[in-house]
Amino acid sequence: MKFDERQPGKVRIDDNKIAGLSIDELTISNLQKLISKREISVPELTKDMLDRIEKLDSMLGCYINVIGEQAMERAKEVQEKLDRGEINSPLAGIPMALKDNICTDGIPTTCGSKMLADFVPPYDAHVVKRLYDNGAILLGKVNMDEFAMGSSTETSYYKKTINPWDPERVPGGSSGGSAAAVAAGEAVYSLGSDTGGSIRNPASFCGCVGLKPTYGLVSRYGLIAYASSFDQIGPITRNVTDCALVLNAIAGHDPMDLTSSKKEHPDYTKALVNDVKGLKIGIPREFMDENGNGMEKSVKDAVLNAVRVFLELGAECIEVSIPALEYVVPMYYIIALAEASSNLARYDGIRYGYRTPDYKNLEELCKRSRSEGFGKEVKRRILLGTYVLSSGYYDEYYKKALKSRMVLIQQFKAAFEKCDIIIGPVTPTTAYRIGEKIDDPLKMYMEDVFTAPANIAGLPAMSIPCGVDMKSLPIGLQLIGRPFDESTILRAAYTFETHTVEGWKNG
Amino acid sequence: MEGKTRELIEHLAELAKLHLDEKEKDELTVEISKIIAYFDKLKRLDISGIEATEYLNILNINGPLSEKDLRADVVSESYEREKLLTRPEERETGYYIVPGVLE
Repeated sequence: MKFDERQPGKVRIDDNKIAGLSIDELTISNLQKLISKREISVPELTKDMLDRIEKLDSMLGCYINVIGEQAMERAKEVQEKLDRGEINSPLAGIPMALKDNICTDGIPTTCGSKMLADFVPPYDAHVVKRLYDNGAILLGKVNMDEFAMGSSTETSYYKKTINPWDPERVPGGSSGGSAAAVAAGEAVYSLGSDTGGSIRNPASFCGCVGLKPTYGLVSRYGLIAYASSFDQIGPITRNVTDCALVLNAIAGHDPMDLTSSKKEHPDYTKALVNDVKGLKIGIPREFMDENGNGMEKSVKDAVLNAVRVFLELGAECIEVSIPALEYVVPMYYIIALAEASSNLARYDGIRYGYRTPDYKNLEELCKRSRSEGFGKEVKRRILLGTYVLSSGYYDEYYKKALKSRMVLIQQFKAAFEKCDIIIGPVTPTTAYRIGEKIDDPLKMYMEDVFTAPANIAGLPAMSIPCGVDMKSLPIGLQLIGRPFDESTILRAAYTFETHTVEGWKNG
Repeated sequence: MEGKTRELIEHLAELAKLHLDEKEKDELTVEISKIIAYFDKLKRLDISGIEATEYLNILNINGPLSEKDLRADVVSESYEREKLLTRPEERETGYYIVPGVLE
């Protein structure tokens, strides 16, 4: 089954070639071939990418901070290392972007907030060190919802990022800049973070591949915390192969993160096998029923179509039931906001971050810095988190939510006894218009209905493109796996991709 | 809920060290009541039979924590001061400077 060539959105200016490749071909694997055959140098490639950013970003708004000079310096260094045979990674020389909540030593890290407008981290996040060790070239830090709180990148203090498929629509969030940059060819790949869907949501709206690893697979050291028991860093890429390559580089134990798993992880490129025969795929009835999810027909049809594709390829598809899915939004928000209110208590205007110019005493220094430094949505979430943790409400909300979390985890476990992976939608609709949902917080929270379950249960989950709707906007298919079984969802994703999107068969 | 919510918002703002003006208090009173009413939906989920030990250990990715998970208490490299102290008065004195707390 093949999909029609996607209609490029109004904004994508794709007569541009980078390293002789069209934007759709701008993958790690393709570039790696050109670099190793010396058909292009790392500095040339980096310069091409920086030129493209210069040309497009005032319109797209992906980057908060482009580090042109440093990128060119590092490009030179990496080329020299390649020439001396000192580096042998598939990511060497490949330009990428990082979500601006990932700490980069000496490079401003704002978290999309006024609170950290002049914050320059004194250290690199673990994942940044790993990527640098692999010869990655950082082009800059990309836009996000403030403190990762949002599903559309509209709460960013700095700028609006638009969806490269339609300039009037959101790119999704909170890793909107990360996904839009990859979709528009302003970065070959990027890292985002996902707490309730923040990698998968924008990947789905922008037509990219996005993966949230199992909780504990990737170190959170250096990730500015939102909700510590949900946050995970993950890749946003053009295709599944690139996703596996990046995941290989960033996964693995880090002694600086006590929640990072000591388990050995497999080589994820070994999962890139075109075969799903006998694979048992579960579809939760609670995802697909019209029970107030707000799921659009085009999204439902795309998921059902994916089921047909998998069946044709020899997989078994069964319906499963996970009743607790109905309660996912309140469950997620009660726990995440409680953790967020605690994590954001550190922003007090004293040691780093925004300090109000107007204070008479310590109390005012703290209160005013926080009130002037944080945006509306952040304040709302802090207050809600404070509420569910406060005396008199703690048992009723927070403790109950923690117990509910266990119910969901147990139900997922039971479902995974009947199937190997679970599929479903990523978002209820395709990209909506900028401004459409931002004034109704509850409406925005409902965007997480399909993605938050994997965060609550700590499961690996991916979004891969599976079609477009009547407006030519991308639709994402979600694949959820057992804990630490990224390999199976990668295999299913790779197989699906191989059989559906012709233009992406890039070896 | 409605009547007492404004007081509640003021109380929460105090706990969270946030300063809200009257307009913000008005808006938040409405928004937060709505959201909390929505959170109440979770009460319908049956959570009987879940033990405290189960949900408290959820983050023990590598099994129960023990002493061997802790790093050795030895002096190691730390950060350069200039990286941590960014304001000029901080750099001069080597301290974070805040208004006095004691009279």
